[in-house]
Amino acid sequence: MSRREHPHASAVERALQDPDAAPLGRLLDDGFKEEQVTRLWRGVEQRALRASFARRHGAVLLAAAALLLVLSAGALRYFRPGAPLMLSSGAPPSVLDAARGRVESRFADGSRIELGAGSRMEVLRNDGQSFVSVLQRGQGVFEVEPGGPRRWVVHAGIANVEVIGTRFRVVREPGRVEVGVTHGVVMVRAESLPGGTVRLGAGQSIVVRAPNAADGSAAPPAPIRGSPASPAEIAPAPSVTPAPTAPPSPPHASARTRAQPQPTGDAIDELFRVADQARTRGDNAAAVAAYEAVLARAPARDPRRGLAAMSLTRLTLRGDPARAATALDGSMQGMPSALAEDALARQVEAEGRAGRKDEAARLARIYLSRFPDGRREADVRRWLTP
Amino acid sequence: MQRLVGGDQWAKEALYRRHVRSVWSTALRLLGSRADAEDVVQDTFAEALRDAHRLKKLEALRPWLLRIAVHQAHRRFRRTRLLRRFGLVEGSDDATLSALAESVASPETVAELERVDRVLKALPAGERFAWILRHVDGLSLEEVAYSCDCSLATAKRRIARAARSVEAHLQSGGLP
Repeated sequence: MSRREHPHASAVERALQDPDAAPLGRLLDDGFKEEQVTRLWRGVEQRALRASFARRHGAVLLAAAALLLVLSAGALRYFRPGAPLMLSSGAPPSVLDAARGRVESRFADGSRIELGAGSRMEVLRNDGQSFVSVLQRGQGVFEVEPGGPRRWVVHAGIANVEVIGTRFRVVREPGRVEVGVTHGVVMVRAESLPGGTVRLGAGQSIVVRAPNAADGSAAPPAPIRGSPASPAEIAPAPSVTPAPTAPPSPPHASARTRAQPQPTGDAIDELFRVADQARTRGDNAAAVAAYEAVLARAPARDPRRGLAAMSLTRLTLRGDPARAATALDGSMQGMPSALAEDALARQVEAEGRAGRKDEAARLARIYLSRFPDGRREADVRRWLTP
Repeated sequence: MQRLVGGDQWAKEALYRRHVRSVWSTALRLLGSRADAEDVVQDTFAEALRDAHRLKKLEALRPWLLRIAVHQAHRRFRRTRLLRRFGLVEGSDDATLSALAESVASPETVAELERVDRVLKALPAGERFAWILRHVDGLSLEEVAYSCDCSLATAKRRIARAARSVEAHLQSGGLP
């Protein structure tokens, strides 16, 4: 039986079949409020007034606009974000491939990247604020000109390195990434690190390992070492730097003290941006992954946990309600008060849809006691009976 | 009409109050964004009040207003899409069809509308607008053509193309 002949067509299907009799608009609540009528009317009057004024004083306005344009152009020129970072040859960097042997790339600002033989690096983003690259394989020494405007980020699979101005080396091999710093300070971010982030100073290095394949648990990172293995030099071919086995000596202990987990605010904001971009292009799986990464990193009372949980819920409530319930359950502490009611109602629904009817009923009772006149009262009441 | 053309303030406000809801609904559904819809409503009435003297018959008022609203919405839609493409506008729409149905429709209908939203998001503006005017607002084909300022044949073609995409997506269960 075709869709058109189906006797139990859904509302959407009926709208497709016969929009004159059953347009979809009948199913929608446009939420137009009386207060909007007055507010928008004021806006209409203002716009009409502006248009009338513009008609009467068009020439003067045109001249003023031209002047403003000139001034804006000047201001933009002064304040505009810097251009992409170019190679010293003037070409834009895209892929640095050292398949045939060691490659050294010098940049216009004095920065330098040296890739070991067999290594490959690709530039993901290059603008006035950031230079983001991925080390796809092998090893590289990065010399970033200090005081520059760009935030350098090197993605290396299980770990990312973030830096403003320094000299460091990244070695990427299957299952492990080693980062060693010669000058300056870098932030190494990886899921397996305590707190997700470690700060490495000059003379320190760390090995980050991939989660164990057998049980999925994260392998502990090797302790931070005080003497990185000569990051200034690149071996002729990629080589495995052995993980340290000896306990750190006293000087290393001070290095360990400095290597405390750092606030991950930038990373969380970046994750939100990643999620936004993923949603914009319709890649919900990537957006969900980004929100879950926020939940894994943000402190318990960080309001961004709540925002991430709500966004994740919106994407997974119908397809994977257990995931939504878990996200909300771990985020209610930091939930912004403006979202608290909606979040609790969503949690009720998520638990119910996930088959945990008792929990849904318990949360529904909490909702009704906290928000007796809540907007979602009717929805929540559906789950009162387990 | 005479009072309106004569610049009577009461007549202007009466026109606005009588038609603001339908203009709002159309703008909101076309754009999927409350902020954008508010702008379109204000621009529409500002333009209508300015050009009221061009209107000959009172019966033509509503279609004429819708035509202005659709034109304004089209401009704003293209601008927002362009800004998004360059990363200058972030965030997602807050008034998609599924979001508008959330408080009044069943979860199954909302899920179905989410799939429709996904298709509409990928459609060219002309097809998206024509389909929404026809299947969501329930306008006749002639009204769609007039609102979109295109021929009847073009309106039909746009609606048919969009409908094929929507139906194909619904039949596939929302899978890409």
